[in-house]
Amino acid sequence: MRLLLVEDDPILGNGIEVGLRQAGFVVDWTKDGRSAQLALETTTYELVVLDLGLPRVTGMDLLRQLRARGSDLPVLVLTARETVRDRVAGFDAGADDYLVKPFDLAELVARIRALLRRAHGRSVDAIRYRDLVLVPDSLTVTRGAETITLSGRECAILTDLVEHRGTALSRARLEESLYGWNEEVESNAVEVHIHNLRRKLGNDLIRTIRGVGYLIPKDTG
Amino acid sequence: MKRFSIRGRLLLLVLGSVVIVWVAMLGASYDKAREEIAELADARLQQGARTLLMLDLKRLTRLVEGAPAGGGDRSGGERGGDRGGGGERDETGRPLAFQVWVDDGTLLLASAGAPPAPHPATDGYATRAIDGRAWRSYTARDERRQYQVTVLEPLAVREHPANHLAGRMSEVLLLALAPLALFVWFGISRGLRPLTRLSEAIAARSADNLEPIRLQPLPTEVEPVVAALDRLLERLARSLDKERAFTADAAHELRTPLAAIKVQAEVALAAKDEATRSHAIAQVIAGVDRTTHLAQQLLLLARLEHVEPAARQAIDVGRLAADGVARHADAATARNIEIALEAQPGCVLHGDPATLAILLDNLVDNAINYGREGGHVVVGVRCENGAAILTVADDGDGVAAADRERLRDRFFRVEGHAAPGSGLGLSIVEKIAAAHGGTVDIGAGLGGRGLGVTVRVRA
Repeated sequence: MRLLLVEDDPILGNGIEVGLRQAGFVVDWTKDGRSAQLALETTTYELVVLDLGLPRVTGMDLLRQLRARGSDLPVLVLTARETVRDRVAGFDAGADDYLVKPFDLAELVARIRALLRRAHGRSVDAIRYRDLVLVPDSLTVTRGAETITLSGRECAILTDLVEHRGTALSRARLEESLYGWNEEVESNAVEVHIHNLRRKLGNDLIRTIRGVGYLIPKDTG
Repeated sequence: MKRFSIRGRLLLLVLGSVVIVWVAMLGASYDKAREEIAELADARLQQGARTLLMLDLKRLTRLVEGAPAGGGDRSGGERGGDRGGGGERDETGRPLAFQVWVDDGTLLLASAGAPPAPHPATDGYATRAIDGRAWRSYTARDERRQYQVTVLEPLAVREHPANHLAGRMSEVLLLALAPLALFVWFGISRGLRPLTRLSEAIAARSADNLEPIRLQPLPTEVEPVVAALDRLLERLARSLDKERAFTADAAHELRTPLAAIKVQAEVALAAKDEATRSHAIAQVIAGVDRTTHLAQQLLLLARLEHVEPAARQAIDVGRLAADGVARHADAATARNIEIALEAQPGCVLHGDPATLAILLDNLVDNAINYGREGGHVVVGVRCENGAAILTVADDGDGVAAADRERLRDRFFRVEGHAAPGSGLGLSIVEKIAAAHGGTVDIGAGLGGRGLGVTVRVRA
């Protein structure tokens, strides 16, 4: 789950970055609107956490441009302005959710998860696939009475594949959703996580498409 | 301060004026009445004398019968005259005293009550003092029978009717004073009604309602007061709006640093490893420091808004700058910045040392924070055309010329900087400079790089 955080305040930005990582997200942090534009053009994100009061390109302009390009990327807006008029303006510009400073980190995380669920057409925080129930928030998979615990990255890969079931995802694409800019990508990390997932959940779940990547087939039953 | 009532004052003025006019009128009437009474009485004297001349001596003698010639007993004589029907009476019923003289000056007859008056030298009217009383007399001469008749009357009796008249008139006017006062009182109350309405309109104004006072119709006397009040209300509303905007801005500005502290604290709480926790706690402390600084700057700005700098005194600007540089030497060293003072000696200005030190602190703070790591900051002091000029310049990244003027805006921050300040520093500098009648110019810094701020204050 790779998120883009756009926040110009160094202490707040650092706090949100670390807090979202603790919650299992992959976070890229940009400090102004122009860098955010660049990041959005080059990287695939699941969601944007956007502060409205940004230097250079304001958060509001960034949001309008994003929507003008036809992107339906979920955007959660952070702002110090709390009047109804400000909120309405934010929603009109294309925000999906709104959080007024100061906020609870737990609430931010919960809202991000809710937005991501909705973006994938789910309203409960669990993904069913055949006999498996994947709960990304708690990093667990249940099969009948059995509960299997996953690591954050294993869970991220599994969630990504299940949500894009029927589509093969490349190793690079999976890596991108696993690592932020500042994180060192281990060369065989994706293979290791796939291996671990197969060990925990059985070999038939994730298929390897040689030369392309990995696939979880469409749920036919 | 002495309290007074317009109503009471007007009442007093009106009634006072009326009474003064009345007294003057009364005096004039009294004089006129006395004049006329005197004329009337003179005519009566003359009439009396003519009547007596028409009588023969025998009848005159009968008229004064029983009365001793010369009328030695004045008071008794008058009463005697009344009793005996003596003396000539006119239509008013008052007895007239008379004397009949033979041509050679011998007193022939005198009526009861006639004073021992000497022989009048001439005919006609005369006013004489006899035995300490003033008498008015008329003398007529009978050419045929060759004697004179003098009719006399004490002047005092003429006073009585005039005094009586004046007394009656005073009584009437005195009685009229009470209803007059009542009418004047009501009239003034009515006339003052616009003031009552005005006070109600003013009482309806509050911090939430500073609308101009629209009272119609407005008396011309009150118009300037209302106009001045409306101007005051307008100024008040404007300054209140500014204050509210500032408070709202300040509240918003505090939200981000507070959010940062909260998030970092939550991160520290949830941290599983010691490194993450201690980093987050360090960030919490940095956030509190930053918020404290912001709060201090806000307070300072709010205080500068209302307070004029304290007592001005002569300040050696070079000394002030040297102290300021010394205070920041540590911070400069921490960023490996070389800070220098280039002061022209003997530069003196009159001002408030406390706020000028704050001005300098803000400029040097900015220069060090936004200057280049390992760069230079130069504080300059010089005198020029009777003005003290203080410059603080750095050789950092500076601010684009287009954005320089925006630095004066409250809460405007240099973008993308690692350590954003309160965004109030230059606002504070401007406030203090303005309070000293000075100006602030923002330009390029050292060698065309960075930022240079010049403060010019009249010495």
